[in-house]
Parts: sequence; C-alpha cells; structure tokens
Amino acid sequence: MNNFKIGLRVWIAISSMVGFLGGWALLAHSPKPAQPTQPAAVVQQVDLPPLPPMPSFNMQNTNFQPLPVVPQTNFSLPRLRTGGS
Amino acid sequence: MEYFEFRAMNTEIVLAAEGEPDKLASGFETTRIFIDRSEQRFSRFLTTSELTRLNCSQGEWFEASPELFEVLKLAQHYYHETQGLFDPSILPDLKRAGYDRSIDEIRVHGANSNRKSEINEKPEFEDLWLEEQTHKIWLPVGMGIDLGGIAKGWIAEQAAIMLARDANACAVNAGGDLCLIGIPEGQSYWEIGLEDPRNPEKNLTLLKVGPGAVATSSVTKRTWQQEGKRQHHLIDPRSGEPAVTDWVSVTVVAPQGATAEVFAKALLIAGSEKSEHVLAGNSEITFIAVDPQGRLWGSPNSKELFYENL
Repeated sequence: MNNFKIGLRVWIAISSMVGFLGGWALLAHSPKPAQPTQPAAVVQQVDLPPLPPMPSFNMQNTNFQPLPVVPQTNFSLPRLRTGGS
Repeated sequence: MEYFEFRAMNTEIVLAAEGEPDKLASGFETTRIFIDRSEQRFSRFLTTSELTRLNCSQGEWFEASPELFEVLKLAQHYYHETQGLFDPSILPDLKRAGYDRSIDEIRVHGANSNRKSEINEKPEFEDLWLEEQTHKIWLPVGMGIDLGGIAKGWIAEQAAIMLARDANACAVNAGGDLCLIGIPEGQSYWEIGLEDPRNPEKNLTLLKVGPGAVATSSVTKRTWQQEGKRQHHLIDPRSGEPAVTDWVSVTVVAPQGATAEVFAKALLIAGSEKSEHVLAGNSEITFIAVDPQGRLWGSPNSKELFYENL
C-alpha cells in the first residue's frame, strides 16, 4: 500500500512536469499575434442637434429668473424634504 | 444623524439631530410632547382646542395662552406685510369650500356641498383686537380663525429650539415645513429634497440650505372634490375661493419658520405677476416656484441653493 502511494505521487509529479514543459514549448513556438500597423478606425463625429432654447421668461416681473434645473430623480430620497402638506 | 418620526397635525413629523445618544432620546421625547400639545392648542378640528374655544368666543373677550397670543400677533404682522394675501380669517371661506373637517376625514367621507347661502359680509382680520397687557383677544362676530398657514412653521421653529438644547445640530420637519439649527458635522449645509408637486414620490432637485427655515405651499396637497369640482386648501382672501395661480408650488427659505410658511402661501396665491409686489424688496426671503411643466423659477438669490449644475 505504501509503495502504491509513493508510486502515485511520483506519477503525479512527473506528469505535471511533463504537462507544464509541453505547454510551455507549444506556446513558445506558436505564431505571435499580428501587430497593428494602422491606428484604429476613427469614429465619425456626429453633429448633435442644438439644445432647446431656455424657457421663455414670460413673467412681467423681470427680477425673477428661470432656473433651468435638470430634473434629478435617480438619487435616494432624503428624509428631510419639503413639498407642502 | 439620529432620526425620530411620528404623525401629528395630520402630517408626518421628522426630527433629526446629532449629539450624545442619551440626550437625543430625551430631546426627541420632549419635542414630541411639545408638538402634540401644540396640536391640541392650535387645531381647529379638535373641539377642545384653545383655537376652537377662541372661535366660539365671538363678540366677547377671550383670555389666551401666551402661545396663542404670540401666534395671532405674528399673524397680524404678516397680514399687513403680505398686503392681506395671508389672512387667517378665511375660515368661513375654507369651510364653504368643503374643508370643514380634517383632510383625513374628508378623504374618507368626502366634502360637504357648497353652501352659498352662508356667504355674508365678514369682518376684516385687522378688526381682531389683541390686548397686550392681559393677553386677551376680542374676536368680532362673524370671524373665524384658521392658523393652518402659520402655526406649523411656528411650531417647527419652537420645536427645533427645544431640540437644540440636547443636540449639536438638529432639524424639525413638520410636513415639509422645516426648521434647521446648526450644521451637521463635516457638512457646510443641510441637504433638503425639493419634492416634485406633480409627483410626490420624486424630488425635482436637492437644495443646500443653511440654518433657518424652509416651507412649501402647494395646490396639489390637501385637495378634494366638491360637487364635481376640484378644490384645494389655499384660499385667496380677495375672492374667498381656492386660489387660481400659475404656479403649482412655492418653496421659501427664510430666517424664521413662520415667515417661511406665510410667504410660501402668499407667493403661491400671488402667482408670477404679483410676487415681487408681495416680496416688496424683502431680501431675507428666497423663493423657488414650480410651474405646471415642472420648470423652476426663483428669486435671484435662489441660485445659491442649488448644486453646481446651475
């Protein structure tokens, strides 16, 4: 039984070594990947449509200003909010 | 930041504070008791409240508590400052519009029909007499007082002052009327969500607010149907009817709670055309209005409340 264990260990060690060296030799002799000789194709720049105009300031009172806030709805709701009751 | 939430004044109350846990627990409880007692004093829906007893005392002298006297004195001050757009004596009009019970009851049982026959010539709010020395109040016959447009802001401020005795920084949020004392540790301002009046589940944006008060009035909250017509609780004293305005909500930042609440209501009733007239160069007030499309409008100093995307 003891001899069987020793033989099994030797066999595993030798087969691992052979497998490792064989793989190394195979990769070392495989063809290298082709190096790019030209830069990647340039992405075409797209002309974006112009932004919509600011909301018209239709108040008679010119001291008040429109506040072009982009709606932000993806943040978590804080516990301190104001919205009337 | 520690939070303590409960329901009072037919709305959600949020207390937020930083400090030693034991002191905060005591401070939260003391503040909750104060708010509950204030509701018992100022609610017009409770038959035993001091305000109800005042409303039943028409034509006689009424001996008021220091708290009720102070709020009515403030109300008279703001009545003049807003050129009558804030008027607590609109109670008969409010009842005629169907708001004669708490909003929770109206939502369950519906509103009463419009009783036009009850429209009478009512006295002006400035006819209310306040006797400073004795804290006595004389309510003219035919006058009814609703403190819904000022008491919540005043209560939030008094509650915050009370909570601040046990906290390093604190905030009281009474259904969107906030009073802020100090600044949270490591921050340079309080972060307050500005609710979308068209969709209360969402915020339109976040505001950076320093110590002081914030209040919002909206025509989309406290609404009901009366004879097939949609009504809301913001009565325009000029018409005696729910206000017709081109804004959906107005948020005001001001040094005091009562100031913020009163001006939020007055500016919303005034709408875009009359707002500057209402502000009358009052530089302590910053406001942001939301129109039906969700666009924001504001006083020039309101830009300081926003993050860098403005």
